[in-house]
Amino acid sequence: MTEEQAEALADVEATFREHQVDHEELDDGAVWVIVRGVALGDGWNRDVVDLAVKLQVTYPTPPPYPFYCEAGLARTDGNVFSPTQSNSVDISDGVARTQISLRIQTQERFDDGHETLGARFVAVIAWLRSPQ
Amino acid sequence: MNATTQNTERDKKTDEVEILVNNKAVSVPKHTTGAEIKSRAGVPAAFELFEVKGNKEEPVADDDKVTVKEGDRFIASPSLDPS
Repeated sequence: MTEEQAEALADVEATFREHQVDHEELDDGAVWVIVRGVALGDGWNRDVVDLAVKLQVTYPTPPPYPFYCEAGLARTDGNVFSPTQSNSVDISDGVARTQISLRIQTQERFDDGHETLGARFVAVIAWLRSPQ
Repeated sequence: MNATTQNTERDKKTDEVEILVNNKAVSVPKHTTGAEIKSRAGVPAAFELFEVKGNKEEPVADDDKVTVKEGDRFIASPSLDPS
């Protein structure tokens, strides 16, 4: 794990003290960071999800994107929001996931001078609790 | 420095507490606002602010009046775009 990946993981663990935070290092140097048991609020077909993002070995470039949770996430009223419309993707590891496509469009490098990975997780969770 | 000035300085200090914004210590007045917390933390004004309460993160608007205590935790993050 690179120093940048380790710092990002430590920040997520500090941000989500009430949650279990796991990580998995891959052979190519990427690291999955997973926050377990995130409550979504009303309107989804799941009450809680495990929210994950894969940090490339070059992190903070590219920025953390996309985020993922369990496959099949959907609104109970049938509404489809573009960030969660791909709810059964396989990123070549044989695991189906819901992709959560939220990012800062113009950002090529994560602004770790102002933002933290934990804060990015919080922003994704805020969107999931109040999607638009 | 005269006694009045010393008292004012001391009062000002005791009215400040240390909170965490994005896991970094920031000193703010006990009675503050969302905008002031972001300003003291040096994060962009356009960022959204959340107060961490247990396992929930509650939004704090810029003009929300907030009473904080030592060690309270906040998260500031940019708005994200659907893509």
